[in-house]
Amino acid sequence: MVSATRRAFLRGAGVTGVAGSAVLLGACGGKSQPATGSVPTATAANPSVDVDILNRALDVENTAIAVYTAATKVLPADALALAKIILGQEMAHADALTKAVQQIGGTPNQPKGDYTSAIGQPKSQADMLRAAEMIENTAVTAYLDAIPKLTDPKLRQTVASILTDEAEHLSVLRERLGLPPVPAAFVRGTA
Amino acid sequence: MNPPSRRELLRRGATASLVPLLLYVRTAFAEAQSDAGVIAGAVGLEEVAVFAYDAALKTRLLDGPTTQLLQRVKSHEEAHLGVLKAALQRLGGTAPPAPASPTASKLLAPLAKAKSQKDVLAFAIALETATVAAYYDAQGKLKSPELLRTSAEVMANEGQHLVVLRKALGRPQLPNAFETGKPSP
Repeated sequence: MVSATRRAFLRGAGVTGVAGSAVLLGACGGKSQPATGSVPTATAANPSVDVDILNRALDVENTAIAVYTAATKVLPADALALAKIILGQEMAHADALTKAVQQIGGTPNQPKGDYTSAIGQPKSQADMLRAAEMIENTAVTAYLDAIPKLTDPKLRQTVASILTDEAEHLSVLRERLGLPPVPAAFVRGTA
Repeated sequence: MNPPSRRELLRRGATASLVPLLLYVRTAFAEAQSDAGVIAGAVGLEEVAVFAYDAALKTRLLDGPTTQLLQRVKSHEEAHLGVLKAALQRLGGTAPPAPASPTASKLLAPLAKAKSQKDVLAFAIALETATVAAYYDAQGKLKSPELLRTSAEVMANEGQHLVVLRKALGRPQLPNAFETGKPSP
């Protein structure tokens, strides 16, 4: 079941008319592969497929930038320093994705004007950190689903390096929220 | 993509005793030309990681919280190993033999020389960083969507290990926007 907050967040991430995070995953490349013994082969290089996947990743990054920009306005000094570091890294990801889209002949998606639904109305530091945790989980889930769909191995490497950074953000945020920073052996964007 | 040479690792600041381990990890996938080859390399890599954390936990240099931390990280490496071995079996590949002495003693030389908890944590950070770099390479080689996803899930977890190990050692937890396990160009 997807909570109202989660639905609002997904709308803020540029995913409209959806019932839950699975649709965002689909938007980033389809449902996850079942853990079977079958070994399908990745498709041949297809720039238009990669542009679409990267642009949807860019939408998620732009939402993250909006969330952390809002966070820098409300968090106290110690958490502010962390939010600024993460904001800088999300901006670097957005910049890299924008350049990647351009390099393969696509037009990068632009930030949307309003991210209110993604940010919500945080009343405390914990609220803000939870909003940040939510965007990081969404980003991790989206990148994990995008990786097998990307047709260019170099782009897969770039996206995997971003995914790993988002997973690191999750660990730091979870620690701030009093949660285990590394709760599982496989990062799947659900914790 | 060529793995770094011994000289290159030393130039980047690795201590001489760390070089055999870093070379072992960073070359895990170097010769692999198929998914089975990459996964066999990953199995070997995770075996070494489990082996290394086991040795680290036996150094008697760790306090309680750090012992718990390394036990948790070791349990994750064991979980990776189990899933990767199962994947390799499905692919019809053969797992590499676990490192035996004297290879093992050479790989774990930094732990034999460790004098403090800080030394052990620095060893663990070097191991995890090299592991992230190996999985980053794997993303450029694997073909199966299922294995790409599993490999990415593991790579992200190794990055999370880096976050907690860096904190334990008093280092910045988030130094890189792109966690490749390699030095910035």
